Amino acid sequence: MMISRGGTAIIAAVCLLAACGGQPGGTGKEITIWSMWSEGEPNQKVLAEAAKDFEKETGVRVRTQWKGRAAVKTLLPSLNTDNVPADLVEGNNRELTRQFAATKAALDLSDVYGAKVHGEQATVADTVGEAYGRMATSADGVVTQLPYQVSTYGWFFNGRTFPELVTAPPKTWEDFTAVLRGQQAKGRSPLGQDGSIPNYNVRYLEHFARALMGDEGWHALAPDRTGRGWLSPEVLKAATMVESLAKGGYFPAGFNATKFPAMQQKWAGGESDFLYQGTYLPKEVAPYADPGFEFRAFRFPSVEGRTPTMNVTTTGFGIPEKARNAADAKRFLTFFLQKKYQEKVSSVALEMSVRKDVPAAAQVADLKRALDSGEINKADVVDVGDFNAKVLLPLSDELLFGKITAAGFTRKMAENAAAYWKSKG
Amino acid sequence: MATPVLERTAARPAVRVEGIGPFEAARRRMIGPFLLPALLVYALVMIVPSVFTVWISFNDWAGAGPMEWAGLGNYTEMIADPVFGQSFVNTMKILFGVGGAVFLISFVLTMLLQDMVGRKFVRAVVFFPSLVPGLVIAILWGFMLDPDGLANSVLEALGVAEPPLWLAPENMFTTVMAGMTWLAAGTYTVIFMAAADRIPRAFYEAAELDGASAVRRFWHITMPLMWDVIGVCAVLWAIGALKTFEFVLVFAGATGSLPPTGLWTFSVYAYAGAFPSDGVPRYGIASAAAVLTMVLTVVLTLLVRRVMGRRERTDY
Repeated sequence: MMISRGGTAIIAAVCLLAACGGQPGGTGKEITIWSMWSEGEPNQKVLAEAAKDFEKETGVRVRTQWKGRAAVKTLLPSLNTDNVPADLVEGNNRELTRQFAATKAALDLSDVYGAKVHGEQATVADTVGEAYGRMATSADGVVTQLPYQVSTYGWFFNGRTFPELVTAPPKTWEDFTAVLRGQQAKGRSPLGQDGSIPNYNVRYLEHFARALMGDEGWHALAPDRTGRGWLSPEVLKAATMVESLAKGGYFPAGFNATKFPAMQQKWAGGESDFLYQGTYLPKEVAPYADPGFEFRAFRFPSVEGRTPTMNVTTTGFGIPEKARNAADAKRFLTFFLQKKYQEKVSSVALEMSVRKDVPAAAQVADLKRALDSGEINKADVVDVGDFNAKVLLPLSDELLFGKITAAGFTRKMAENAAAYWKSKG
Repeated sequence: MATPVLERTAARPAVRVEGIGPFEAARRRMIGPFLLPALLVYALVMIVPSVFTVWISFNDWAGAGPMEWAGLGNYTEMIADPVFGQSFVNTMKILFGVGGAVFLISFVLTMLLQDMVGRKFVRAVVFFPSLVPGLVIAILWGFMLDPDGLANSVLEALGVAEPPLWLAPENMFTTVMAGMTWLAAGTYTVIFMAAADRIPRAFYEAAELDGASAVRRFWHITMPLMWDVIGVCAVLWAIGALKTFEFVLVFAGATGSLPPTGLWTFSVYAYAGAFPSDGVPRYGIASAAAVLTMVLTVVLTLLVRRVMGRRERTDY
C-alpha cells in the first residue's frame, strides 16, 4: 500500500504525540500505574523507587498516578470504553477479586504466578504463598490480583506500659480479661473502641464465633437462607461473650458517641490500654501518641482452647484486559516482588510483606510470625457485603452497645436474615 | 391614604387567532435553530443519562462489563428490603419533619426581623450557615459534639450534670435533622424576607391603625402576599430533602465505611448499592432507588404546586 508523503508525516506526528514517543534511548514502551497511595505516603515512596529502577533496567517508561484509596473505584467506569487509562491498578484483594473481577474486564494473572521473581530462582506463586494466592482469586476462578503486602488485626498496646506483655502476651481470653480487670481496678477503661464504625464493632463477635465454630462454620451463617444457623449454641455463646464485654464496663463512657478516629487517637494518647485494630494503626495514630509510645501487638487470644485464625487483607495489583501494555505490566509485578523492595515495605512503609523471608517491623512481629505459620482465615472469600451492612452490623452494634441481650441478638439475627433472603427472592 | 384593594388578577387576554405578519412568522421560524444547541446539551447531559438510569434499573450490572436483564427484580427486592423501608421513613422525616421546622423558624424570623433595626446585619448573620458547605459543618460538628467536645464542655460549665451524647446511635438521626434545620432555616428566612420586602408598607400601616397584632399582620398580609414565593420554596425544599445525601454520609460515615443503616436515606441507599464498602457493586438496585427518588420528586412537586396554587393569587 502506498502512503503519500503527507500521510507519512501525519502518522509520524501522531506517533510522536502518542505511545510511540518514549524516552530517548528507551524501548519506546511505557506502562501506567494507578496507585492507591497518595504522594508523600511511605508506601508511595517505596513504589516510586521501584518504578524508577524498573525504568532504568528495562527502558520501559513508568507513569504513576497517585490516585489514593479510590483507585479501583475510579478506574471501573473506564472499563466500559476501549481507552482504559491504566495498565496496572492497585487495590486490596476484595476490591480486585470482587469489584474489578465482576466487570469481567480483569486479566487473569496465572502466568505471572508461574513466572520467576525478577533476578531470583523462586516463582511468584511460591513467593506469594498458596493462601494469599487463593485470596487473589475471584469467585469465578480468575486470578485478578498479585498481592505484595498484608495487613491483619492485633491487640495493640504500649510496650512501655506493659513490658511483661511484650514477652508473654495473654494466650487465653481469660488471661486477657484478667489483665483488663486489673486495669479496671486501677480506675482505667482498658479497651479503646471507635463505636461509630460498625465494621469495627463486629470484630469481637466474629472472632469469638470463629474460634468456637471454625471459619467455615462462621462464614456459612450469612448465606443460610433460613436464618436458623444464627440460633446455634455457638453463636449464642459468642454473643454472650460480647454481651459480658459490653456490660463489663471495659469501654470508655461515650465510646459510641464519638466520630472516628476520636477513640483510636484517645487510645494513643493513653486514655485506654488496648485497641483491636489493623496493622496500619501505628501509622495512623503516631502523631497523637504519647512521646515514647512503643507500639506492640499480640494476636487474638484463644477462646475455649481454640485460637481464631487471622483475618487478612492483601494489597496488590490487577491488570485490565484492555491494558495497552499488559506484557510490561506483568514484568513490573515480578520486578516489584524482589526482596529489596519488599524489605522496604517493612522498613519504610512499616507494613508486612507477603514474603516470608522479609521480617516485619518490631511492632507487628508477633502477628507476622502467626501469619507466616499459615493460621489465616481462608474461608473469608464469600461476598456478603450487602448482608453485613443490612443485617449483621446493625444488630451487632446493638449487642456491643448493651441495647439487646445475646439471646435477643440471635433471635433477631435469625428473623432478619430470613427476611433479607426473602427480599432477594 | 386609602387602603389599596386586593384584586384578583384579570383574565389573560384571548390569544389572537388572526394571521400573523411576515416579521413575526420569521421570528417564529428562528426559534427552532436557536433552541437546538441548548436542547442538544440538555438531552446529552440530562435526558440521556436519566433514560439510561431507568434502563440500568431493570438490569444487574457491576458498573462495567456485561449487563444481565433482571426485569422488575431490583424493584421488588428493594420494596421487600426492610433497610429500604427504614431509608424511606428517614427521608420522609427529613422531608416533613425538618421541612416543617425550617418553614416555621423562617416564618417566625421573617415576622420578627421585618421591622427590626439593623435587620440587614441580622439577615447576613442568619444566612451565614448557608455559605458554609454542609460537608464542613458535618466534619466540624463531629468534633464539637464529641462527649468531651465544645458543646458538652459549655453545658457542663453551665451546670448540666449529664449533657446528652449527641452522636450516640439513638440520638444521631435527631442530631442530623437538627443540623439540617440549622443549615436550611437561614436560606429560607432570607428568601422570605426578600419577598416580604416587596410588600408595600401601606398595608401594614393600615393594619396597625386597625389594631392588628404582629401575628395577625403576618397571617393576613405577609403570608398571602408572598404565597407564590412560599410555593416555590416548598418545591425547592421537597427536591432537596429527597436527595439528602452528603450531610449524612460525612456526618456518620468514615473512609471506606457506610453510615449505620439507621441513618440511611434514599440517596444513601442508592449510593450503598453502587459503592458498597465491601462487595460487588450493584448499579441495578442503585438505579432503581434513584428512579424511585425521581418519580417521588416529580409527584411531590406536582402535589405541592397543586396545594399551594389553590390560594387566590393577589396583585397590588
